[in-house]
Parts: sequence; C-alpha cells; structure tokens
Amino acid sequence: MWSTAAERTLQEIDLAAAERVELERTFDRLLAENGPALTRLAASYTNTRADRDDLVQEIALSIWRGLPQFRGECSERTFIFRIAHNRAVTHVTRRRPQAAAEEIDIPDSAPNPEAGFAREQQNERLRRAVHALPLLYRQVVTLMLEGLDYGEIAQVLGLSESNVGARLSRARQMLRESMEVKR
Amino acid sequence: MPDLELESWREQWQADAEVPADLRRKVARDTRNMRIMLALEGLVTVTIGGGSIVWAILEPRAEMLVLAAAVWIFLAAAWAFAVISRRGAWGPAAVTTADFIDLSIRRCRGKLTAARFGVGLYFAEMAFCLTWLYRDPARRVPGPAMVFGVVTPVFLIGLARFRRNTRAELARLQDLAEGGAGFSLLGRDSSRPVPPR
Repeated sequence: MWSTAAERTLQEIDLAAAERVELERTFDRLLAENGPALTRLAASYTNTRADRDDLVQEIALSIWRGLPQFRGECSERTFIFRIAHNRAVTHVTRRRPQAAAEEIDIPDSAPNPEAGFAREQQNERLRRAVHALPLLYRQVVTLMLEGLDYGEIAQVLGLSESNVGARLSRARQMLRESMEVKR
Repeated sequence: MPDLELESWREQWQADAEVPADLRRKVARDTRNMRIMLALEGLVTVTIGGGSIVWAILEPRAEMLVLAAAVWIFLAAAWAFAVISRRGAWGPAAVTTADFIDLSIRRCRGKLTAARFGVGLYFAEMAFCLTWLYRDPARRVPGPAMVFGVVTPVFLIGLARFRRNTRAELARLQDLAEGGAGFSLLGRDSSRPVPPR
C-alpha cells in the first residue's frame, strides 16, 4: 500500500514537472513571437526606457502566471494582449506623474542606418502621436497597429465590436490631425 | 479595398526604431567627458582664480591686483563661452536616432568653435602673462618665455589633431544624417524580457 502511494506521488511529481516544462516552452515561444509587439505596447504607455522595461517584465510575469489558466477559449495573441493591456493600464494608473518624457522610446530592434531618416522621422511622428492619444483611444490604436482585427480587439478590451469601430474611427481621426500638426 | 493608410501606419509602427547601441554609447561617453571637463574647469577656477586672489591679499600691490583682475576676466570669458556653447548640448531632445545624431553634430560643431576660442584665449593669456612679467625689468628672465616656447607648439599640434579628428567625425555624422553610409550603427539592444522562473 505504501509503495502504491509513493508511486502515485512520484507519478504526480513527474506529471507536474512535465507540465512545467511544457509551460516554460509555451512561455518562451509566446515571448519570442510577441516580444517586439509587447515592447512597443509597453513603450506606448511609458515615458522612459527603464519604465518600459519594467512594464515588459511585469507583463511577462503576468503571462507566466496566467498561462496555466489559459484553456484556448481565445487565440494566444488575444490572450497575450489582454494580459499586456491589463498590466499596462494598472501600470499607468499607479505610476507617479512624470515631469518630462526625457527618454521617450519605442525601441524594438536595431535600425538600418542606410534606410534614410525621412522614413524614421515618419515612424517617430506616428509613435509620438500614438503616445499622445488618450488612454481610451491608445488602447484600440496600439492593437490595431499590431494587426488585430475588430473582433480580437473587442475580446482583448472587453468591448463590443461596434464600440471598437467607433473608438478606432475617432482615434484615427485624432492620429491624422496630430501627425498633420507635427509635419 | 485595402486600407492604405492603416497599412502604412502598421508598417511604420512595427518598423525598427531603436537608437543604435553604439550611438547611445557615444553620446553617453561624450556627456561623461563634458561633465569631467566641467569639473576640471571648476577646479582650475578655484585653484587659479582663488590663488590669484590669495596672492593679491598677501601682496597687496597694484600689479598683483591687475594680475588677479586679469585672471578673473579670462576665467569669466572662458565660463561665459563654456555655458553658452554647452547650452542644449547636454542631452538629445528625444530618444530617437535623428535626435542623437543631431546632438552629436551640435557637439562636434561646439568642439570646433571651442578650439577656435581656445586658441584666441591662449594667445591673449600668453600676451598678458609675458607683458605682465617682463614689464618689470627685475623679472626679465628667459624661463617664462621658454615655457611658452615649448608649450605653444605642443598646444597647437594637439589642437590641430583634435580639430582634424572632430571634423572627420562631423563629416561622418553629417553623412549619416543625410541618409548616407559611413558610420557603423549596427549595435543591437535586446528588448527581450527575462522569463520569470
């Protein structure tokens, strides 16, 4: 009887270890696939590189914690962005007001210096315009720019698709105006 | 029908935008050097400026007062130039590659202007020192003139080398700012988060 119980315990430990390995593998894959997008998203909610990196770490930690509960009710991308947005909003609401955006930064990876600065300036203009949007609109815009469709954005933010459409329409108008002013 | 505006924005949004690591390092290094220079200038001001005042107090003669006044005029001129030339050169307006390069270009131009100002100031100081020393026949010894005779060529050679290097750096930066090649900016920072375990 004792040996059966011990065997069962060992089996459970093996199972838990296997599950953990599988979770770690999934986590690594999700971060590898979505790391740049998460970094961009974090950058759109923060003003400094250090703050951005902190937020990315918080998001990664939340994903790790939430992963065991993920049962595939939505796509992985929706799951990741929902966590990221919840973390980002929490981060924004508890953050101290910052005096100046001394290090506004939406890094991703290295640039190609030969590509020319006109394009980079355009990219920067867009990033600044997104960064300046009210939170309500920034949320939908960042997801839209990451390539999520209305349904996915609605799932991530817990909104109706028509609400997403309305917010996006207004947000795009604001982006256009903002970028026009900065031109 | 494709939404061209949205596609264009997506492309821009997802484009690489990191300020290259080596450009960041260069700007950080230059900032550190500027701080060191500022500290050295403070030290020189305290040592020479303070020394001239102490000397004038210990030997309250007209010529010592003239020397102290001249020292402080030179120091004031140097400080005025330093403050004006460093205005807006302590950091980039924003953390973008263009702003980092713009800052580096401004710093290079500032260095070249400082080199010209430095030559003028050096010769003005030399002229004053020699005049002040040799006005009094009792002080007409060859030592100070020989010191200037040695220091001046060394100073000018060092300055010429400094100007040449700075001009080359400026040309590379300008080339880069115009979208050309010629400056290695291929550093890469990892933005990948550390997996929590």
